[in-house]
Amino acid sequence: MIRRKRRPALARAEALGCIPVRNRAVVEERLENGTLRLSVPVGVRPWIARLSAWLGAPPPEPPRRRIELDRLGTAVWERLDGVTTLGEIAAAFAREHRLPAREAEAAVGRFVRELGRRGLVGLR
Amino acid sequence: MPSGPWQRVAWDEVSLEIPARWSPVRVEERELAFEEGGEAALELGWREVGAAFSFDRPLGDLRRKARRRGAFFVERPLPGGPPAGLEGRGFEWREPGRAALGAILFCRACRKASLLQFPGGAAAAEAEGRAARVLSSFRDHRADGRRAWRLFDAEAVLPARWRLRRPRFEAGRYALEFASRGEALALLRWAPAAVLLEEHPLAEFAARFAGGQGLEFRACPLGGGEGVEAVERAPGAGLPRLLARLTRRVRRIRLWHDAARNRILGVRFEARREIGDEEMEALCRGWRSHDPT
Repeated sequence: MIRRKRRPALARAEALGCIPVRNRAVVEERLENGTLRLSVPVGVRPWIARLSAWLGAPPPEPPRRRIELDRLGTAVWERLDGVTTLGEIAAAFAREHRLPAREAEAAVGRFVRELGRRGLVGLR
Repeated sequence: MPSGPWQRVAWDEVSLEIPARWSPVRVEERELAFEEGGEAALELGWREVGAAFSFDRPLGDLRRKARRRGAFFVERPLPGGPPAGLEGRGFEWREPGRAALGAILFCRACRKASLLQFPGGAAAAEAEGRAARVLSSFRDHRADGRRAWRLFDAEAVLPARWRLRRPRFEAGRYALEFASRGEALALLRWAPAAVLLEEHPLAEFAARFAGGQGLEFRACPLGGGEGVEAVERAPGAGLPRLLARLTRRVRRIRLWHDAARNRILGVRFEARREIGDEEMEALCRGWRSHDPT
């Protein structure tokens, strides 16, 4: 059996120095309560693309995945400007909500990781 | 002298002052570890020992372990001397790329032995001064016989009968769960309150997130702020009451909004008996939040 080599986890200091960058394909929609709904195109399954090409149909519109953010998530998303590091975002979050630095880092880190898992952001 | 603000941390019966920049990375029942900027800063552990405690035994163990991994081990005076009321011996070990300054402390009053290690060693004068200040602030029991827990921005002071069973420090939610003579106590803390209470009023929040399902919460202002409380009553009298006492537990839950610190704090008591008002008040008074240092 081939075992895939596990990539080493980033050290905390390294992770906090990363810059989260938004996926350019994300479309934002402001909801009535001020929070954001994000949508991002997800890839069409290859066999569907091949089938529609074989049938001579135009390529299918990729489906979009939608994610609704709460107030805290919206506030963090709005800070993702492609320049500010994760550590700086967490520090601002801690100041704004009077949280211990560690707690803010954990909350923001987990949120950004979740956005990354869903293809909404990448880390630079 | 080390610069920058300091904070007092406490865990169970042990308390000490550490630089505010240090943050906890490991929290066990009788062990704590702190780091600063990704580097280990302090590791400490403690336990009750028998009547015939000798420093030679733990020091011998440390020496043997150091020798096994090829480290240089030497006994040395404690930085700043032992803390008031305690006896102590100091040591230092070094190996390529790693070093630590350490202390073993022993209290004759509570018969507790504690091991503290400051990774990084005593190379810098600042490290030595910092270790001296930490050691001088070290206490392994309280004069009032109570126990205290103080980490991050939460602080609990409880009667000594309560034993910590499960601490949880998650982003946005802390829960310290205690047990004593078949009774359960949970001290809860959520943040940021302003955002959480926008989504759910306090009574609804208590029912959903503090284990208050099925209970009716009533307003119970606390410390001038908004508060709610639900009291579950043991049923009836006579035999039904006796049977209920044997088979089911009743809850009393109180939550309050600490608006100044943007927190929601809560106490959940669960037992076969109903808790009295005075006892509940005392538990709530012993649970508070402070501003992060």
